[in-house]
Amino acid sequence: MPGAARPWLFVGVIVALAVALGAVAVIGWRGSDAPSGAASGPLAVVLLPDVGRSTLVVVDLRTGAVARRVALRSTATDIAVDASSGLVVAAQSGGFGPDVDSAASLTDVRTGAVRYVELPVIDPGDVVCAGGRAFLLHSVVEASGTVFSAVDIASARLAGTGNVPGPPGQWGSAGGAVWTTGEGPGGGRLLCRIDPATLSMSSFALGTMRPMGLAESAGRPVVLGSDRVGAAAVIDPLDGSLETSVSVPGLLQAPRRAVQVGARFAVGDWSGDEPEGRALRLLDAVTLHDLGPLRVDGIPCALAAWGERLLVVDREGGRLLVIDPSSGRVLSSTDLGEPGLVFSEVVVVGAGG
Amino acid sequence: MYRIIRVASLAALALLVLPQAAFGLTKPFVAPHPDRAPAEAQMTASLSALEDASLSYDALASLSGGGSGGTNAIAFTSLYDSDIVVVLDPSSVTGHAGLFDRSHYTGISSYSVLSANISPSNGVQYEKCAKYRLYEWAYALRVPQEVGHRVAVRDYAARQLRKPYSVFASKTDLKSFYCSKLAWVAYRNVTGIDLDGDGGFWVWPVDLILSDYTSVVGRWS
Repeated sequence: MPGAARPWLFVGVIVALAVALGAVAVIGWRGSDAPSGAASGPLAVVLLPDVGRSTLVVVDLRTGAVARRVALRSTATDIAVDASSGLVVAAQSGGFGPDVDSAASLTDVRTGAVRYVELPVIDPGDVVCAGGRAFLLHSVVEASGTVFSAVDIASARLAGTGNVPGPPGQWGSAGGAVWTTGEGPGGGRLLCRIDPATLSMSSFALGTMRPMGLAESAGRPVVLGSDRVGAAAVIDPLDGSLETSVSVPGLLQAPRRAVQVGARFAVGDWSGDEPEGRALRLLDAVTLHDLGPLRVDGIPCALAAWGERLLVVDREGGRLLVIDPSSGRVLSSTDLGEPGLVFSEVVVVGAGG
Repeated sequence: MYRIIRVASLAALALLVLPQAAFGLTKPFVAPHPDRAPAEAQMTASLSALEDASLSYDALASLSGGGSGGTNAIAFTSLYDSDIVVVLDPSSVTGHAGLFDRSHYTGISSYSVLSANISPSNGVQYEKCAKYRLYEWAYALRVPQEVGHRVAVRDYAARQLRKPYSVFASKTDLKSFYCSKLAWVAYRNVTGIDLDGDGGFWVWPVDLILSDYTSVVGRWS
């Protein structure tokens, strides 16, 4: 019978090894800072510009916990999300002089993997996604206008470059196209539509409104800005004509940023200048009729939508707030770890939830 | 040569931020800094010099850049057209300078500062205001005796858009620019005044602060 203990000893060793390997795997998994349930759930991605190197803070929207922080190679000034791949694209603007950058970063926020696409021109400052491509607006002005770069997201390669008339203006996407504001030869304000597939451009006169932001509501571009008072103008996405224009009351400054949240259109006025408001304005997403104010516990400097919920970055407190716009109730608040943000942006990945 | 420039510039910057400048909008004392023409300046083909990576990197790193210190809260809404923005931080030595264009300003996300950034071509550009907040200190300078010319100065600077960047070209070479030179040239050629506080080959951003013609109308950290 002495030999009968050997099989049990063998089994014991195997079990012990399995337990040890399991422990190592768990420790390694935690050490990589991988999100637990966030692998497939909805995520908010917040840009913290920082100084020298920006950070993407990935928040698991189901738990409100920070799931991951992704350090980028330089200062990024804007982010956008590609709906089909879920990749987050950042405009890697960098600093001045030798610190300037000329890249788009493509981040898989579920794994933390980052790829950089080098651009032929320095200083990309704004980015939007449309038609499987990322479009980046540069600070560089050529003879035919401000330079933009198009990056094919699937292949992570430069798809082309183009120019928009005049100095760099507002930059946005709506109705499957890229939109920007520019200046004509006589100084007249223009609204330009860029076809994401062909990079061809159409220009339309913008009238007297001074554009300060571009957003999308009900599939149409909305120009935000000032026309004596704060205003929002809905544009026909096909011919660039004005569909309707409304005054936006109750904000300290003219509107500059907005997002559609279900049937509502949440409008903010954060410009980076004082006075900084603590309220947003809710409009009807289709008619833009005023629905009243939405008080925010903080300074709303960046907005995004997660289904029927509104995501707000509070610049002052360095928090991501999830708000029910129908009641104004804060559903969750996530500390981003850095109060007093210089500026920020937020996007949602996997918004199905 | 550039090591000397860096050391001297760091000393100048250290003096710049001494407590003597802590109150009001008085001008800080700045120690003399290098201002003799570099050997590279003899190379009239400045673009070819820029293509020499080892040469250009050292030169450019010693003269501009930065953005690894703190942040500032510069209030762009308080600025006029052609006010000069100078940003500094411990790593940048001389920092960066630009000329404000109020007509294009809609918030810190807008591109409203005319300056020159490293680009072999198209160096003069409209820079995004938000980037100017990513420095530890920001100064706003105004030229009080020339406020009547501020639109003309701004427009002159805007007409230099697309011209290449070079730190090796002299101040009077109008074919290429570096950041503080754009503001200097715009005022020099429109109003006739020389904003270089200490003369010499280069006009550094700190020279614009030190000029007898400029007033510090804002300082943020």
